[in-house]
Amino acid sequence: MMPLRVVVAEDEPLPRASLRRLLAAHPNVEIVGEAEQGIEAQALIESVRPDVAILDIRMPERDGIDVAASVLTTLEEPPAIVFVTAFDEYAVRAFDLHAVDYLLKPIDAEHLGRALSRVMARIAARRSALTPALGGLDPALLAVLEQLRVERALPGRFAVRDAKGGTYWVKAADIDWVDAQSNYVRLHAKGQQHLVRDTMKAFIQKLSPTRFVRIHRSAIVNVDFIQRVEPYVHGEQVVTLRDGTRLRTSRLHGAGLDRLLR
Amino acid sequence: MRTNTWTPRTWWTVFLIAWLLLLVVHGLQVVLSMIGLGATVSAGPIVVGGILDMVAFAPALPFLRWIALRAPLERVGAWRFSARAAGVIVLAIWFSTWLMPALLTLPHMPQLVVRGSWLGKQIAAGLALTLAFTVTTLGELLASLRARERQALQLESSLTSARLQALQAQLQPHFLFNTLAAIAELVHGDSEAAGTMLTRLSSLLRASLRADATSQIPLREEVALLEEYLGIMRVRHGPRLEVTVDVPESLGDIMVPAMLLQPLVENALEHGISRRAGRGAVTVSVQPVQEGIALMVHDDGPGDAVEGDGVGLSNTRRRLEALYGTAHDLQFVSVPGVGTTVRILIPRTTRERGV
Repeated sequence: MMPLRVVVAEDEPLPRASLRRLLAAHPNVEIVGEAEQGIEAQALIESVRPDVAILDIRMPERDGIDVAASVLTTLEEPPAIVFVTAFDEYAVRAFDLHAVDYLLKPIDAEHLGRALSRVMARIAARRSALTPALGGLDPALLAVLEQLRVERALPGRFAVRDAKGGTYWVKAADIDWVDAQSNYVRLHAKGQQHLVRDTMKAFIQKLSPTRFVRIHRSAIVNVDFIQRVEPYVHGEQVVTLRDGTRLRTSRLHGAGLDRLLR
Repeated sequence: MRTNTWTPRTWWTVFLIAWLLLLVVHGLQVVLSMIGLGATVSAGPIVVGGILDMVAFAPALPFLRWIALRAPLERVGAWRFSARAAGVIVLAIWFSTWLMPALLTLPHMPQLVVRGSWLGKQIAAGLALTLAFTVTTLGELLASLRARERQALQLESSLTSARLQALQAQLQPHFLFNTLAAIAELVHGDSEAAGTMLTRLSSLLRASLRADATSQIPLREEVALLEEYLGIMRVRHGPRLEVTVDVPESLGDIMVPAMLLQPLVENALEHGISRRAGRGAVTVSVQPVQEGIALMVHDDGPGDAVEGDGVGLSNTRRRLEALYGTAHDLQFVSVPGVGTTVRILIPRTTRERGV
């Protein structure tokens, strides 16, 4: 059997050494290149055409998500991708949702072994398929990467004017829910409220689609802040949040909630 | 929707009430003008005429609400608000006097409508609309005052927990897990280095758990904590990392907020090292100045950082505000090609004089 040709891209030397050591334990795996940053990683993958690319998400110059997205679209037979992350909550959530392979740091032998055997099974299936060129493009993976790229472009924080005319920022990750207040949207974050001049329609576009959902014309909620969802009349639902707030969904917007909670 | 906010239904109820009030005021006006003209007062024309008049006003109400919301009293100030209100009323009167004749000249409209003086009609319309406007505006003002009161209460209760959270948030999960990943590798080749890393990580964790947002330590200890952090980062990044710490020993007794420097340096490394390849230099320096002491953290990164990036700075601002009020200064300067600098000025206190 031909050995699995692997490229490792990771900016810190010690985790790179870990991967080298752990991969050496697999007799049918060969490391064909290592990169310390994103641009280098992309060039390496494009020139050595490995079977597998193990990519750290946070790398200088170009992150692992961007590297994966570009080699998946430019290469005719792109490598299988395995992501490595220390703590990227959004990415992990998206990977879990779409069964994309990833490893958490510190990396342990068992998880790496499991990821490798899944990759080998996929490659074997692809090689036996009638259309090998198309078999390499995993639409689910592409969709996840596109979504993560969109999320990275979102504002991580929102500017709020205080009563004294000063400005402070509210982190997007801290927002529990949002409701409409005439020409403002009111952010509820960590028990405090902040008014931002915006419309609900425009504001939802600035929030992560995997974390926030519009349930009503005048309410957006953080999925993690939902405590309970109960059916209500006419196919509507009542959502209870962790702070005890009860909100009704509307039929027009309720579908988004079902999709995220599925 | 929530019970304590004004839903569309609440608004329509308010409109209906306001409209009925208009009807009453208008009716009174009509009666008064009839008496004034010496006409016989009879119920039929007053009621029918009043309703017809008010039908003409009804479309103006949502418009009034819209204006009231666009220019709330508390935001634009009393004078500008009054000017706008007057504008609205004039516009509405014009609107109703234009619509009224149009309605009245419809061919089958019964000629029951009271023919009061033109001026009387204007006064009636003006009064009625002022009333509607006042009701709308007061309702909104009341709702926003109630919301503010609630907000103040919540703020007070969340302040204590915010204080506790502030410092614990300083050690980023990314730092923690990447350090653990480095230790996990070191145990295989260099167990002594792994031990040192663990000891350093423990010191940082202990310091971040022990101190609350307002605790202060001597600068000497603060620098020692920073060195623990830098020791870990040097092992992780190797020669790519270049950090200079320049703190005169003579300033060692001055009290500074605990773990003030570490998040700033973490931000600087993020700009200077994590986002670009090659070497990155970070300089930490503390100098005595006339007003107290100046602490500076500079990185030679791209210099495109935006204030509000990263947790460190907003937390730092809040802590400095809580500790020193207006007696501090924090400047954040990012210059393309030069890098990013954070400069903090705090008063000079030692343990004896400080708390």
